[in-house]
Amino acid sequence: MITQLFIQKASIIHELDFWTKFLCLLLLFPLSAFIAPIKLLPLLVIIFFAILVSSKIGLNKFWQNTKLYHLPITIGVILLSLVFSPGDLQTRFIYGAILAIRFILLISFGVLFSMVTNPIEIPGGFLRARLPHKFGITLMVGYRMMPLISDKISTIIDAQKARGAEIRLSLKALPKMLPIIASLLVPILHSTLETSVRLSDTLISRGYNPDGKITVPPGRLNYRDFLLLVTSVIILLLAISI
Amino acid sequence: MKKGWTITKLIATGSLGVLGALIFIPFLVLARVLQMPGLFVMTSAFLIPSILVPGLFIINQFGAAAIGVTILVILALPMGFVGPPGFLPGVLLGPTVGGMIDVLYFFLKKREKLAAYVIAIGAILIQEIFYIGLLWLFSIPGWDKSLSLLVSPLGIGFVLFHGLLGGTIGYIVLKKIRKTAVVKRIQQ
Repeated sequence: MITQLFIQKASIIHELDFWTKFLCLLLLFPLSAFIAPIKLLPLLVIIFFAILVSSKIGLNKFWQNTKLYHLPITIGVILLSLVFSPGDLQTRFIYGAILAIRFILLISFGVLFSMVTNPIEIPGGFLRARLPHKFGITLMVGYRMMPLISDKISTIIDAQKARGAEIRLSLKALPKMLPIIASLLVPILHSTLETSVRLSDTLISRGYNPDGKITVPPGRLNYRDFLLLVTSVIILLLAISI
Repeated sequence: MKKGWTITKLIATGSLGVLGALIFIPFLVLARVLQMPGLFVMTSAFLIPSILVPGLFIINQFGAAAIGVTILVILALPMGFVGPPGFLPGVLLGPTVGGMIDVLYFFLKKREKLAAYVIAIGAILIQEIFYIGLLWLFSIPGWDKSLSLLVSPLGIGFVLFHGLLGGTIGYIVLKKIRKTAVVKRIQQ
């Protein structure tokens, strides 16, 4: 489930360093999109499409994954602006439309980051950032534990179903879900804690010392990383200064 | 009981963050399929304290909520747990909301039942204030109306209902689980 947005492709964007993608796609470009004057927004749109095309993720594929966010947010922001913003109807509509464009850019860069970044790159990036490695390891183990705990939850739900519990997620069944959730939480929590103890025992038995030194995964910025970083910094400076 | 962060405590905290992310997935999917983002918060707000309350008492370490919630939001970053997928400001939910919950736990941990309810209500309230803060930060029209709604009887009722429900479930789960060997092992 967590990897559903990530699309494996051999592209120059996929090959960028984690921190380049993180800083540019999640921080600098979205920040620029939010504070930039209106005349700079087309440039940001062009940059976005250039990155999207370079990532080899088709426009159709991108639209299919983002329309659920873009359409409600566009309509919602414009409606909110029409109701709550000051000024006449035209001013309120224009304000709402510009805000919607800024949000679309913000979301698009965020979704693009999710599409070009394998989730397992995230803990590796944290380790390379020289944060205390015990936190990076915790995050890395967390990623690895997801399918493990997910399987355990499925097993527990199946066991409860075998005992006669009616477990299904629907709007109608929501009031009945409460006692079911309560009855499921105890075995799920217990099983999760058991898994975590077993995993930490494995780490300790393999010689992992939370306060010792650790080999950091290799990673080096190349010219493409620098190019994107410099571009995003220039755009941010332009957004601030214009 | 060993003081300080051990690797077992860290991995247990991380695993609770993973569990939180996994438990929210069906609600996220339901809200997305029905195209009702609000439904996710309306139906699942009580789940955070249900895991948070037993988790805090089991780990019994200052910073457990901050680490656990941060791991939850980082894992859920591509899923759109706080805002759309890849919405970076959402990650701030972990250290801010988690940190405040840690402070609440630090002062109330000796009075368990009270702590369970205060932490549960506090967690939902601080989370709602965080969301409204994001709306204010991004100048979304109507953020002040959201704040008014939060302090209205409807908003207070929502926070109290989910808080008391989550606190009760969390306290029951804690009572059932705290004497097990696995919890003792984590606390050693």
